[in-house]
Amino acid sequence: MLKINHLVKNFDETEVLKGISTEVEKGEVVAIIGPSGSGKSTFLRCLNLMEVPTSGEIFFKDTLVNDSNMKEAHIDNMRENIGMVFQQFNLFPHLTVLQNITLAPMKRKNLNEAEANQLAEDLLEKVGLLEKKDAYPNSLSGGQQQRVAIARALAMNPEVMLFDEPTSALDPEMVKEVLQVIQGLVESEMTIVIVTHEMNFAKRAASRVIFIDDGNIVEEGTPEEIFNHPQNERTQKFLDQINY
Amino acid sequence: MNGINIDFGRVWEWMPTFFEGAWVTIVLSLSTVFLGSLIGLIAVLMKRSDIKILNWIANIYTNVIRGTPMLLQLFIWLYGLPMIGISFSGLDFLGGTFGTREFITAVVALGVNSGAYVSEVLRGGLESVAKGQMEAGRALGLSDRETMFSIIIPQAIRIVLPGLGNEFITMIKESSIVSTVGVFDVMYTSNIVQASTYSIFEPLIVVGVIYYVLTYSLSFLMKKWEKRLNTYA
Repeated sequence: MLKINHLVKNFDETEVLKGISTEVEKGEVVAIIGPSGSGKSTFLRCLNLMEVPTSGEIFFKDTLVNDSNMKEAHIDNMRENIGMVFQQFNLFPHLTVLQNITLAPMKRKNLNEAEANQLAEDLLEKVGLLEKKDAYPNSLSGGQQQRVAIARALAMNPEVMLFDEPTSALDPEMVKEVLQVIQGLVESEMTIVIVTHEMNFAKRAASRVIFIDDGNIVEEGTPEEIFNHPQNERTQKFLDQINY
Repeated sequence: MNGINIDFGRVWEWMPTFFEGAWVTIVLSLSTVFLGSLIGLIAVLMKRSDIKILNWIANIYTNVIRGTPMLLQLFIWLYGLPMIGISFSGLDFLGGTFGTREFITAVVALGVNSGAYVSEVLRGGLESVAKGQMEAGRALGLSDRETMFSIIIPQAIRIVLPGLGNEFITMIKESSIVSTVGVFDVMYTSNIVQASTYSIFEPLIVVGVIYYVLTYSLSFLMKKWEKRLNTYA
């Protein structure tokens, strides 16, 4: 589904990603863990070109994503198939919950309003927020906003979902409701790449865990391998330091 | 009090003339504001464009307009540009007041002027919409243009409304300079009434009151509108 070859990303003088290579197969749930500032969010954001890689290659279903000759329109089409959920939700505050979800399908998939509303209501039902469909985002709790953001991304019927620390901005009591929704996606065999600090979730839900430190993949493997038998000293140290 | 005799009675019978002028000022300001917003929107899109030459044109436009007096700009549109073949003809079907060459040129001159200020207000508004909004739109597959029009601009409008309101109020007041080129606006009526009644003081006060009522009503309306748009916050 995704293939990454020697991905490098610099911000000005700083080398944030130092040559990352990995693959994500269809149906895989890949959890990316690592210390703050290690480059894991930058890595995720390169996958749908929210950040443009400095060098290296990213393939989405055998198409080179970061081809400088690629037209904007192709990038937009590619992004339709890669859903993204942000740490800060980024719901559109001037639109109702329903409109937040229907906007992109109506613009990009030529759904009419009735079809889009039906789709949005189905998705809201799935994330348990159908009764909030006419509310504005700012009247919702953080957890509710993030569930709407997930529904919004799903409305484009993406083939991969990228989650960028989806629970990091939430109050502790709201983490669970969001993780449950993501767990539901895992069970529906959605391909997922998630940057997270929720180690228990990674352990339980991921098919593969990648530990990134200082812009490199230090270690990757099954949750069992990474959490119970980490081989690399830095992985061991990181897991020792955090509390989960 | 020798010789000073303030008597509003003498200008009372001229009230219809004042109101006629006030109507011209209102139409002039509204047209200007409409044209100015349109030009301002285009200018701000040009400033945001990836095409360098569009950035330059928009920046030169803004700087020149803001760096020169409006009266000079009006004279250039009305008397300068026709010398090199650029002029606006009157539109007879709009009538003897709104269809004149002077009125139409004034709308263009003031609109182009206002556009520069509006574009700066809009730029500030666009920049204050959170960066994550653009990202969220683009991540869904919306194009830059779709994201701008469906997500960024609607939010920016709420932010820029007070600034735009100020610009409109400024326009009502500044539009008084068209009286110097013979457009029959409310400022111009004071000349007519002064000439006919030999009163200097009273017509100026009446005109001042009319301007004040216009600007006050507008700021009142803007406040109400802002409140209504802020319901989601």
